[in-house]
Amino acid sequence: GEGDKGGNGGTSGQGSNGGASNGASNSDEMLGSASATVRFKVGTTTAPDGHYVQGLQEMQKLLEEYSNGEMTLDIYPNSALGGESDMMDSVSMGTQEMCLVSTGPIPSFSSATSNWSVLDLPYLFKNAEQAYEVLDGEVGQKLLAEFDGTGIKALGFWENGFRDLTNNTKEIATPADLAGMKIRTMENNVHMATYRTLGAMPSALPWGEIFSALQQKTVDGQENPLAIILTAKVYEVQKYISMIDLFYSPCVLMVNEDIYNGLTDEQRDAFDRAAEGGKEAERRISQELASTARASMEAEGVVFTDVDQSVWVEATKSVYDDASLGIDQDLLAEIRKVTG
Amino acid sequence: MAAGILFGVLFLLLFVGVPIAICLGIAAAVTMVATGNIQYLAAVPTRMFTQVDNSTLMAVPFFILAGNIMAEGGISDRLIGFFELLLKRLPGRLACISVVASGFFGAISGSNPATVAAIGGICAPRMIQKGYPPAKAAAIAASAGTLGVVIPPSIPMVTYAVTANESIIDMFEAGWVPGIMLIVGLCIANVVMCRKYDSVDNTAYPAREYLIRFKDAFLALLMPVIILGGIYSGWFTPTESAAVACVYALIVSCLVFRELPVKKLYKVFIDSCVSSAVVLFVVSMSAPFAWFMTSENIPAMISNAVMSIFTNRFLILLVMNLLLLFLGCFLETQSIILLVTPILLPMATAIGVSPIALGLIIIVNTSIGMITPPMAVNLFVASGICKTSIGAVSKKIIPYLLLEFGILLLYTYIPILFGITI
Amino acid sequence: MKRFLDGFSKLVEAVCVTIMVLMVIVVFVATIGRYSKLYAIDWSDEFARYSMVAIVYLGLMLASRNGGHFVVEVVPMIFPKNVVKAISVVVTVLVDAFAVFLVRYGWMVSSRMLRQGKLSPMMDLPLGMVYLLIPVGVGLMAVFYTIHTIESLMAKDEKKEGI
Ligand code: NA
Ligand code: NA
Repeated sequence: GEGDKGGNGGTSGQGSNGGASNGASNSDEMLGSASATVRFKVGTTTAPDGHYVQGLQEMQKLLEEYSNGEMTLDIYPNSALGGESDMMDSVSMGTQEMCLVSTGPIPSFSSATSNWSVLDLPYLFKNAEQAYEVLDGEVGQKLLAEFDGTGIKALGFWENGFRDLTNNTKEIATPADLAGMKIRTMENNVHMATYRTLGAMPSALPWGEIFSALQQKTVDGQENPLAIILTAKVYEVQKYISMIDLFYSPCVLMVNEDIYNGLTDEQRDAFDRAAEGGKEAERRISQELASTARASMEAEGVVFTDVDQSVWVEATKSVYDDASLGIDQDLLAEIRKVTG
Repeated sequence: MAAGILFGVLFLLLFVGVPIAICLGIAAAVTMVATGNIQYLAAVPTRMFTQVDNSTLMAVPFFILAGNIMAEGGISDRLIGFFELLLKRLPGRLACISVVASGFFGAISGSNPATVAAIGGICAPRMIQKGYPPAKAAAIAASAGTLGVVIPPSIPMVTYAVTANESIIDMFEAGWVPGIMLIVGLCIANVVMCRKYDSVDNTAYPAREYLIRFKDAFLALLMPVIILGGIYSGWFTPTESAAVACVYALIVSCLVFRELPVKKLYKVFIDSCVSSAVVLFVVSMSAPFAWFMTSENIPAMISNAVMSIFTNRFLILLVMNLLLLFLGCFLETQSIILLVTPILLPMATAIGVSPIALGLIIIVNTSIGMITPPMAVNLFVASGICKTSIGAVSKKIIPYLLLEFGILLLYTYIPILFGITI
Repeated sequence: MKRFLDGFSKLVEAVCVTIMVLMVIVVFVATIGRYSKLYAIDWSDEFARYSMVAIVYLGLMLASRNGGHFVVEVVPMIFPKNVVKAISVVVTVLVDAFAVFLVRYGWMVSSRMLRQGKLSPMMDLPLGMVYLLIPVGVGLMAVFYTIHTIESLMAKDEKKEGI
């Protein structure tokens, strides 16, 4: 997922539709059943047919079902309610009930959540199953609990995907191929440090300028999960995609703490179960989208490069030793216990 | 209900003369309270902040500064003076230069206010010097600035393309059609309306004169070469080019032409700060207003209500345009595209308008929206540059507004009448 | 009083000019660095954005002092002078009321962010301090707007207001 600003990329502030569906969704599909009396406004940065929104629609359906039509979600896609960092502020202050945001802006949200930057490390998880195991397990619970008292109740880890690298000049198979290239990244210290370690020049351009910048070669490439590269149409101006899977990018479902605590036990039970169901659905949709995205883009003439990831793992090892990044070593050790 | 209070309060406050920015803020806050949403009030300061905490907006203060330096430091006079000489037989040439230059700038920049600041900042002071009334000069710069997002590349086109699941490249390519229609239309209008300010110059200058003027203008001519060439060749982004333009203008004005002593320069910086502040304050305050409208689904409700009345496809297209024009008076481009596209797209497809054509109809409308008061960023930037009142510019902008809307209708109906698909 | 106000304006002017100069230098130097691939200034964009926020919200005060805000000027065209004056008082009260509201809520948001320790992503600045620019800027704006109204009510010859 993308950092903090409205249109910052990652989960694509500009949003987009999933490749499969044709045209923008009707707003009726976003608003919950009109008869529901307890409504949660939930904002996200992806497009109406993006994986975040599809997952939220599943949760909306389940919530109406589990609460017998009493509760529902009104979904606001496409950063319509603001960028990710903005929406976290809104949820914590109660100007909007819920949001689904990537973990990018979390470390700077509050001193209580600063150790979330551990999740920004390169090759932290070998695969999605490992990520689920850690994030659904003790470490994940510990991280989510750090939001207690900030005005936000963090409910669980959904998924954005593994971030891959695109460019327009050549096939990149090894870090040596990347040397000296200008790569647009998120405004994130750990990510930028990783690209510097790899020999690239990271640059946090605003998402709004990405297209002309890629076309005019102001930057040579950018990085995002495949689902975003497809749905935000980045592939239209990029010829090569390297499957480096450098970072695993989760996202988090958040709800205003007071509102959550104010629910009756029955309501909270329905809400929790619907959130869990939404999470399962969203992860499945994300995985499907990632696997179909490659085929759709290959059909459009994009060249995919499968890389030997062990070379990249080796090349980014020193990021783990960079003390200036302030990575929480205890937490890292706990994650390593699971990932080996 | 909410929409009624929101617009009622807004119009009342605008009428009595409360600063436009504050009208937007009070209207939003009052409506939040009146509809029982006191918890929303904290969104007012946060939206104000995030709206101006925005990299793409940075081009505005930078180009306002660059324009002021160039005007005060003698660059603009030399630069435009040279083109005026070349075009001496064209009446209204200064206004036409503004339009064509905005077109060129639009071809590298994706933003309207940046185009007004960049081109208006250079051309408008010269127009005023030549006897164009300041409000007229501002109207010319503001209307030419609508080319910024119509001519590709364009940030709103990217937003539309991903919202409607269309190709960005196709949108960019199709954008040239309305873009060129607007350039031609604005130039013709300016030749007609501005002939009295700079009429045909029949003096026969010796070839030497051209050479002298070219030599004199050489460093000034490098300015557009650096800005346009620098972006085309990928040296820098449009926003960065604005900072480069400032530095180049400073070096040439202060060190080469020596027309900008420190005291005058200090004044230039203060003026640029104040102009940027008043412009961006309105932009900033429009955010809580737009956020509240979004959060309460007001644009979607208005669109659904209005569009459901009509069945005739010619009427539907007309009403679509009028609706977009109305929304453009109050909201900025991004909100309109995000909120209205899902409603208009199925309707347009049903009456045989392609999604790309609809996209351009929306883009041109929202671009025109930047010259329709009260929320009219192009007018704010232009009247800031020309030091004239928003009321005076609003009057002078009317012919341009009608012209652009006429061109928009031509663009909307010609394909349908002649069975062309875009 | 007038001397104090003039001095204060001069000070704010100097602050604004300094910030704008820094903003130009930082973005220019960062641009050259990216183009030449010699060095990178990661924080340049964030620095420039916050500088812009500062210029906007401090510049407002200067704009109020010269009656430089954008307004729709219907009232002076259709009402007699006395009514215009009365309305300008009402408008000033509305501006001040909004400023009071914004100072209260702006402070609420800023202090909340300071408490929770929210930082800017690149420079690790306490974001609450940057947010403070809004209540401070709008508060000063209202003060100077009010002074401007009082001055023009007392002035004998009416000057045309607003840009
Ligand atoms: Na453009
Ligand atoms: Na408008």
